[in-house]
Amino acid sequence: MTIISLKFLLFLAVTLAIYYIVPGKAQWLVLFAASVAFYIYAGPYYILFAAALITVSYFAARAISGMHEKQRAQSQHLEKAEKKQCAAFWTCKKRKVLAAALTAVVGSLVFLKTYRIIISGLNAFIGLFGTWRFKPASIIFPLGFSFYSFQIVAYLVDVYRGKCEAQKNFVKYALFVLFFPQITEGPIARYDRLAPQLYEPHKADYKNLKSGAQLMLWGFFKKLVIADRLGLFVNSVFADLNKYSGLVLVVTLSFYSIQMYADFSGCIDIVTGAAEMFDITLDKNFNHPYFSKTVPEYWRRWHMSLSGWFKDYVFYPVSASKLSLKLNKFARRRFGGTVSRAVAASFPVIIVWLLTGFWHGAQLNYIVWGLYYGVIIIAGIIFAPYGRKLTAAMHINTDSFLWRLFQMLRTFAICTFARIFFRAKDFSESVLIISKMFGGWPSSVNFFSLGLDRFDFTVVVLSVLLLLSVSILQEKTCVRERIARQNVFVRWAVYYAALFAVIIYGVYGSSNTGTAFIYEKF
Amino acid sequence: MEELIDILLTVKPNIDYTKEKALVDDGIIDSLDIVSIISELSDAYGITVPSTEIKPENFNSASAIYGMVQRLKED
Repeated sequence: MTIISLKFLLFLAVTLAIYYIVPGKAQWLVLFAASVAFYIYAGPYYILFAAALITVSYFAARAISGMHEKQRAQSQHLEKAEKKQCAAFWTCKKRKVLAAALTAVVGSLVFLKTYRIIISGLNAFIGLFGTWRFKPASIIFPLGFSFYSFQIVAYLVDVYRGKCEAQKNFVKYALFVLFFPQITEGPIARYDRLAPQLYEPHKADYKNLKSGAQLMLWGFFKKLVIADRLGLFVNSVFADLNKYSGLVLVVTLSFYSIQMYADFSGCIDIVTGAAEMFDITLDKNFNHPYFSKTVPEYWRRWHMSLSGWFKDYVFYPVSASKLSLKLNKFARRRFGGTVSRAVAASFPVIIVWLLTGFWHGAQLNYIVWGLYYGVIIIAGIIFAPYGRKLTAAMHINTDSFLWRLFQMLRTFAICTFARIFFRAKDFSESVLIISKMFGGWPSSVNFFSLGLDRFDFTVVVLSVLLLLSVSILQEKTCVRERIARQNVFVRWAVYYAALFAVIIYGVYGSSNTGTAFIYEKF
Repeated sequence: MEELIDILLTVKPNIDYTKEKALVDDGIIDSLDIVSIISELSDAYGITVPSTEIKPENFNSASAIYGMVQRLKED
């Protein structure tokens, strides 16, 4: 049941009705039942993977929490030196439990992402000696696994760090992992922010219901009118790459960048809107990333829950590690200044970006995609002072609108280039695109023959302009609140216009269910 | 405190560290700056900043960083 289907809307409406009818204390049970039903409907065997990880992480977190309590009780009446000993003893024990649980969770993710590669590697090796081969089992990657496994890792580490208490109720904990609006594509939630909202009673509030529905409608518009329409163009070019070069590929990749944003942020708007109707606020996942002036800023505004996760659970721990500190010290003494900063940052940055690439898929193109960003960020640190000197020498007003616009376009271009590795089916196709993009610019191209006719082009251009205008407005104000302040005629005219735009101009495909979300495959 | 402000100025100059109270929250320093600060602190004060201490509230102002350093020195 995709979240852009009528089935989902019906499912949501029924769940909402029951949720607000039952007593407040039982509301979380309604969410749990709905979440389990939603996930089983998505794929009956998916729930087995989820149940296994939930069970392992639940007991591990309880064990760590129990050790925290024992440590506190024991160290109450101890002197400073003894307290240190006690802490060291319990930290060692807690680490072992955490390591075992993380191995199970991360190991499952790595296994599911790589088992086909491992089997084909083994077969290649065995092939040297005989004809027998391993048959790869037909394991389908469980929906949302990459997202909720990271959510579980965050929970385990937060319990270990004492940031949150382990949940004692198994079913409540399972709800935190399975909460149905966000299980397919995130945002990757943090326990301390999401869980209390799931368990506390909520009263039906017209404002939440209306506001959530509006956000969902905007998400449907982004997905069905913009993303899926641009997808027709992008897919048509990618289906026959050998035919195209130069300008066509540049336009296609630019369209793909907009498609990705409309698709993923559209999904998150639907998910966030659905949660809002239950009076639950999810973490923000997008903050107009294409308004970013630098690549690091872009990654603070794009898929924020993933970049925040990597920052808290990989970047900082690696940066604070002894190896990283030693490297830092060496770089400062050897190079000093900006270069030392770049060298010091390079170790955690490259690790984070290799892992980010791997999170998207165990394929060379994703790894290269990750490395590309790592290198760009490190190069940014090295060249930033020279850039400042150059702009000063050229008397460029760096606060001017034109300069900021240039920076935004530059960031868009850098990120669009990265999408070559992201969209290509493998690394060799990425290389093909790059080689063809810089050569053979045709004298004339009929863009209206590439999946979109004149009418579709007009719809997509107007829709993207609307998206841009709303995004500019959202930088300054809450658009939904602003609409809510208008008189009844203006308000409902806007709502109906959006609704009919989705119904009339949405791209539903032959099965009338729309296209799957791009990030669903991760 | 003066020594700490000198350290912060070497990592990221042109900031009035005596006045700023939301260095992280307002995006004045980013995660790469925090990494450099941790390294400098480790050198200057002989402390190890564990990853559990790397949170916005410990890096939002010079006084918050100073407080964290004192706490870690005592440990």
